[in-house]
Amino acid sequence: MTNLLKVFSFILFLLLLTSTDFKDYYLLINEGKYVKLSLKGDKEILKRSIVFSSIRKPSDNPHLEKNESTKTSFFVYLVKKKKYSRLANFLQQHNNQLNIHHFYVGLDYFMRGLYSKAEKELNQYNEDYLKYYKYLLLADCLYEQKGYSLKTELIEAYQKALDASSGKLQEEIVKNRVKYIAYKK
Amino acid sequence: MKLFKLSLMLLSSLAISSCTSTKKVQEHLNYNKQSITYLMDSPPSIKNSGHRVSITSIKIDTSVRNEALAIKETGWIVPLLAVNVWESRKMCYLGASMFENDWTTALQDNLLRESNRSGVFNIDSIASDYQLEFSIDKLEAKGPYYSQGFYVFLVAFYFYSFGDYAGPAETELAISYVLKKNGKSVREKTFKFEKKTEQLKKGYKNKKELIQGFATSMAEATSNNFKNAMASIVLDLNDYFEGEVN
Repeated sequence: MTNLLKVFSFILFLLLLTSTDFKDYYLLINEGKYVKLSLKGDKEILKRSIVFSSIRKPSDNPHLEKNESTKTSFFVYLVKKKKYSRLANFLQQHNNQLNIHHFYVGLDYFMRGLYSKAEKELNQYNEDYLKYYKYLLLADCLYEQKGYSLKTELIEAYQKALDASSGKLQEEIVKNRVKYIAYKK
Repeated sequence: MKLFKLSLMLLSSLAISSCTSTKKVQEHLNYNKQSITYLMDSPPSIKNSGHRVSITSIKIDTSVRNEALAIKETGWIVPLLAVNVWESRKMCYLGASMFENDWTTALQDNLLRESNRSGVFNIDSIASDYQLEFSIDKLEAKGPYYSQGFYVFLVAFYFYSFGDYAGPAETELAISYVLKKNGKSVREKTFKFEKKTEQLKKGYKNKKELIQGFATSMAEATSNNFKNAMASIVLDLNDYFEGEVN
C-alpha cells in the first residue's frame, strides 16, 4: 500500500511538472535595459523582447488607475513578475468594456505562450495608443505558430509593426526581430 | 609508453594545425538557403496617378555569379615536428544558387512590394502603355576567409594558438532600367549601391557556424542593397509619372 502511494505521488509530481502551459519565451523589459543588452548583442533580447518605456510596480488597485499609460505599466509589471493571482484580480475587476481590456488579455495570453488566444484578443484591440505593440505581438504570434514557413505573411506582419512604430528605438526593435528571424535564425 | 605519448602529441598537433580546406569553406557557404528579406523604410504613398506599367524584361549581366565560390589566394604551412605554423586566405563569393529565389524573381517581387507601398503607379502583369526593362549590371558579394595559427611542441610541454575569421565582405548592386511608352524610351537610370559587412571573429561555436554566418551576412548586405535600389527606382518612376498627365 505504501509502495502504491509512493508510485502515485511520483506520477502526480511528474504530471505537475509537465502540466503547466506557461512558456515564458519572451521577456518584458524597459527601454534602458534593452539598449544596454542589445549593445552586447544578446540574441534573446534582440529576438524575443517586448520593450515598454516604463514598467512600474503597481499600487493596491492598479485596475482603477485612470491614466492608461500608468495602468499599462502596472499591468506589464504584474505579467513580468508572474503575479498570477494579482493578474487574475486585475483582469476580473478591470472594466472589460474598455477596448484596452483586449490588449491586456492578449498580452497575458501571449506571455503564457497561448498564441492563438492572444491573436484573437489582440485583433479586437483597435485603439491607436498601443497599436505598435499590437502589431509586434501579432507578428510574434504568427512566427511562434508558423515559424518561417509563411515568410511573406510574416514580413508583412512585421512591416505593420514597423509602420506603427514611433521613434528610432521601436524601429530598431522590429528590424532586429526580422534580422534575427531571417538571418541569424 | 613515451613513444606512444609523443606520437599522440604529434598527431594532435597536426589535427589542430590543419587549415580549413577550400572545399569545406565552399560547402559551408552553400549550406543554408538565403533570401532577399527586408522591411521597407519608404513612406507609403497616398496618391495614385493611375498609370499602369508592365515589366517586359529583366536581363542579368553574365558577370553575375551563379554559384558560390571559395578560391584559395594565399596559403602556407610549416609542418615541422616541433613547430607548426600555418596561414591561409580564401576569397569567398556569393552566388545565386545560395538563394531561395533567382535574381529575376527577387527583383520582380521586391519591386512589386515597393511600388505597392510607395509608388504612385501600378505594376501590372498585362500589357500596358508603359513598359519597364531592367538589367542587373552588377551583383556581387565577396570577402576573405582567414585561417591561421601555430603549434610549438617542446617535449615536456606545448603551446598553441589558432583561429579563423571572416570578412569584412564587400557587396555591390547596380541595376539599370529603361521606361518605355508604347515602345519608345522615355526615361532611363542606373542605380548603384554598396554595403560592407562587419568582420566575424567571435561568438561562433565552430568553423562551420562561422562560414554560414559569413554567407548570411553577405546575403543580409545584398538584401539591404536591394532595398535601397527598389526604393530609389520607385521614387524615380514616381517623379516621372507625377509629371505626366494620365
